[in-house]
Parts: sequence; structure tokens; C-alpha cells
Amino acid sequence: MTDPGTHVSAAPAEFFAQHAPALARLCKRARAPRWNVSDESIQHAAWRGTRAAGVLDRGGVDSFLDALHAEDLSLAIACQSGESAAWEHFITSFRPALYAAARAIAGDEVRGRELADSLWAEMYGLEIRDGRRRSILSYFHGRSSLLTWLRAVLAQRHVDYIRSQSRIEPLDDHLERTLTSSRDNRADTPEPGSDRARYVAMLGKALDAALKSLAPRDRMRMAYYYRHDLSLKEIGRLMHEHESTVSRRLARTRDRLKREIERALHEGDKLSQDQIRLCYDFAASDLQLDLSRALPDIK
Amino acid sequence: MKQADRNNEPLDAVLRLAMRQRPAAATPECPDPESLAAYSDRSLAAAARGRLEAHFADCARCQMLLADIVRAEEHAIGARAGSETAWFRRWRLAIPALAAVAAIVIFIAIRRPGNRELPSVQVVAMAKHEAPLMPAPVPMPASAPAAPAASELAMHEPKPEAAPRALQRRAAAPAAQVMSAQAGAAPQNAGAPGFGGAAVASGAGAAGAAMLVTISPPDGSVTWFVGKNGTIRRRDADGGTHLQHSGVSTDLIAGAAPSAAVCWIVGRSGTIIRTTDGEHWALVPAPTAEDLAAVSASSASDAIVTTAGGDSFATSDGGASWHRQ
Repeated sequence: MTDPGTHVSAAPAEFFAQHAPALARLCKRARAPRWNVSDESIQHAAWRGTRAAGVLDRGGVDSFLDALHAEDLSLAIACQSGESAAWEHFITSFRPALYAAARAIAGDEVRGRELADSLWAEMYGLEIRDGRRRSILSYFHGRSSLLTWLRAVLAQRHVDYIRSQSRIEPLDDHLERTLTSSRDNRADTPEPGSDRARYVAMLGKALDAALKSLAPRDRMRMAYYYRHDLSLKEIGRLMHEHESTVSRRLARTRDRLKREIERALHEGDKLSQDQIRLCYDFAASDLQLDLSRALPDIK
Repeated sequence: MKQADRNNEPLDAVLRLAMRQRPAAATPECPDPESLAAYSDRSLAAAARGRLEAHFADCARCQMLLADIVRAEEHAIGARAGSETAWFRRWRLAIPALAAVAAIVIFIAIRRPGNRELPSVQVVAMAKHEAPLMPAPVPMPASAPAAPAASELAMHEPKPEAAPRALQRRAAAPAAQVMSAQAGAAPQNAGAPGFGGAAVASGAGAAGAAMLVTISPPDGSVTWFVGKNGTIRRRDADGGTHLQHSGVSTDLIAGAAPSAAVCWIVGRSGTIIRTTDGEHWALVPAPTAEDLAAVSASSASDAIVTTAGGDSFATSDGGASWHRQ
């Protein structure tokens, strides 16, 4: 969170003057009077949002202001200021969606409720600074819908929670079966210990090189699919692509990876097809395998 | 790439294993939640989106946050769709039933005397389905006069105990075939359980041809038994019965008698016949060639006929002219 909150110095008059028409449009869309929010508050929030987004050029600012979710912004400002009618509206409109999102993100009812409850408290403002209750709603500038912002904050809290718990998620059933099968088959496959480590290392190196050669969006698609288990539809939503496009590009990227890896193993390491198969088998069956360094997008 | 293909090959298993990581800590380059949300909402300009994607491509943490956001969105969309689907599922079952009820209500409304715009809104007669033709003569109810001979008409007065069975069949009949209940039903019909003297006329289906239809005026002084091949038998107040010449050979399906002298009968292929003296029948020009399933009448000149398809036509000049209802 980069925004310092509600306590900002007065927005420069120059900003208001330069963007008066766009600000007027914003205030009109915000319908702020119904929450007893002044136009000035909206304009200040817009100024903070512009700074937070790093929008500098004049035309860009006007477009930015026109794209703000004005009504959500005025609601957030009203809730920060403790406007009871706004809070009532906020609770009625967002509480069910917030809890549903928390359940979806956390993956279970209990943890989802905990997640949502904690966020609810933060929105009300548990921290008091300079005599004022401080709500995380002050970080909302209307650049997205309020609901999506709430989901993003929930997701952030959830990821931080997982990190704090150092949770090691269980392997999914399919992978577990794959690994079990590989282990079972290992007894039938002659595999000198030295070869096993060498094969895994060679595969890791080839995979590293192949992944680095991918375009960023191709890497993103692969990560969403293999790492985050998103459906094609969900990936399409994130990547702004049609589901069929995602499917086609994923298949193409995967085929390219496979070709690149096997070419590197065959031409660079002089492995036969049987040895390449062993590389995959060893890598897939080794739970201690650390290929994370092969993936540049994993920190 | 199909989802089912995931992990189907060793490469997929290696990729998944290689990418399994606990989320990393945020770095100074990681955007704030609002930027992530704006990216997800597609609220960003192309340049800003490109800058973020350059970071996302190499940041597992931001990818995870975006994945969580999109999962939450999809969950919400799925919940809405599920709710709408559940609503549809509930009403999908109810809609046909409601449609059937609506059809019955509309049909009844059409048939209601108050809607006929006839000079007299008196309920004038009723027609009733009876049991299928029986192979042998059936005893009449104790209160009723003797039934016509089976050999004469191949139609039979219903057994008293046959009424519930007939009513059950009526209940199962299509809505368009069920006619309105009418007060002042003939004595032998008034006691029909569950109908309270209801008049029911068959549609033009196959069952209709096998049905015996009885028609009586409100005073019950006479009864006409009509049915297959234009057959009409009249039973007088003293119990005597005799065949009448209908002048048609089509199956007769329903009838209405405002009085002992006036009776309208309708049947297949737009057949309409009428008597104004209780004895002699004359063909009435019909407004349609469709099978007629019902008729109501308040006099020799005023009547409404209804086709098996639900269209109704009214006349106020004895059938010389008709107008659609």
C-alpha cells in the first residue's frame, strides 16, 4: 500500500484548475451528497489516487479521472468518515459478497469467515492515529470497483496468512498418484544413483532455458495453469483472452517447451529418448526436486 | 489444451511439481491491491496494464493474488448462475402446470354465462361425458326412467357407480376438453361427486367418439343421448325414449338445451345441429370446419360454440352469422 491515507496535504490548486472539467464530471458521477460527502473530498481523493497510480500527463489524468469508479469512491469516503447511512448501505451491499469471496479464496468456510471478519474490522478502523480512526478504506481510490478491491485485499491477507503459517499444502491426489506410481515403477527400472541426480539436473537446466525463452504472457499463462490450477476460463478472464485462445496458446507453449527441453537434452547432453524419459520420470517422482530456480518467475 | 490433459504426460507432472511453491513475500515492485483489482477489472490503460504484466510474468505472489481474485469472481458468478438455474428449475416444473391452469381458467372464463354477451345468461343446459359404451344394457338409476335399448342406439345410460370413473377420466383430460361447471344441471348429473352438477363436454379426440353424452334442459324434463355417427335418442319425462333423426352422420360431442324444446348439439368437422321443437333437428351453418368440443346456449338464437383448439364463436341469430369471441 503506497497511499499515506486520508491525512494528505491539500491537493495543489493547480491540479484542481487543470482538471476542473474532469473533476466536475467525477463529482457528478459520484453522487456524493447522498452520503454527505463534499465535492472537495472527492477531488482530494482523486488527487491522491492520481498520485498513487503515477499518472502524470494531463490527458492521462483526465482519462484516469473519467475511469474512476466514482460512486464506490464516494461510498468509501463516507464510510471512512463514519456516515451511518453509508455504512448501512455498505453492509447491505457488500457483506454477503465479501464473505463469499473470502470463502472462495480461503477454500473453507471457517477460514473464510475469519478472513472476512478480520477485514471487516480493518474497514471499520481498529487503529486510531492522531485521534482519528483509521480505516483501510482510505487506500481505496476508485481505480477499481470496491468489490474487486475488497477481493484483492482479502487475497493479500490470505497469502500473508499462508506465509505466516508456513503451510505446506498437500499434494493433490493426481500428483500423489503419479508420484506413487513412479516410485512403484522405480524398482523395475535400473537407475544408478549418480545417473538419477545427473538426469534431474540436466532436465532442470533444460527447463530453465526453455522457460526463459518464453514471452512473459506465455509464462504467465503457464504459471496460472500449472502453478495456480486456474481453469481456462479463469485464465482467460485474467489475461483478457477468450477461453479457446488460452487453450490454443497453452498447448502451443507446452509443445514448444517440450521440443526445447528434448532438443537440449538430446543435442546438448546427448541423451537418448529412453534417457530423456528417465529424466522426466526421476524429476516427477522426486519430491525433493527443486526446480524453482529453473523458473525465473518464482521468488 | 483440455483440463483433463493436465498431468497426462511426464512434462506436465514436472511442470506442476516445479511450480509448487509457497507464496513469496511482497517486493517493492509488487503493485498495491487496488492496482491488482484495477488490472482484474480491466480498468487500466494499455500502458499501465503492460507495465503490470511485465511484473506479473515474473512474480509468483502477484500471480497468486490475481488467481485468488479471479477465483472469487468466478465463484460469485457461479453462485448467481446457480441461483438463477435453481429458480429456473423450480419454475420449469411449475410453468406447464400453471399454463394448464391458465388454459382452464381462460376456457372457463370464455364459457361463463356472464361472458357470453347473450340476452339471457341463464345456464341452460349441460352436456356430460359418460362411461364408454357397454356391451350389454345397463340398469338405470332407481330415480331415472328406463334407459334406451342397447340394440337401438349402442349407447347406454351410465351406471350410477360409473360416474366417479368417468369423472376421473375427465380430470385427466386435456385442459381444452374440460368445460365449465354449470348450475342447474340435470338431475342425473347433479349428483356427480366432485363436480357439483358440473357440465363437461369432451373434445374431439378418439375418446369423445366412444363417449355417451347426455343433454338436459334446466328443468330436467327431457334428456337427449347423443354420440357416434350422429345418433340422437330422446328420453321424455315419462321415461319413454325414441330415436331422432339428426340429419348428420358425424360424431356428436356436446350439446346444450336451454329448454325442453330447444337444444343445440355440436360435433366433429364443425357440425352444429339444433332443434327448436324438441323433435326435429336442422343443420346450422358453422363458422368453422374444425371439430367442435363444446357449446352453450341460452335460446334458439343465442349460442357459443368452441372448437377443440379453444376458439369460440358466438351467434345471436340462430347461426345465420357467427363472430369470433
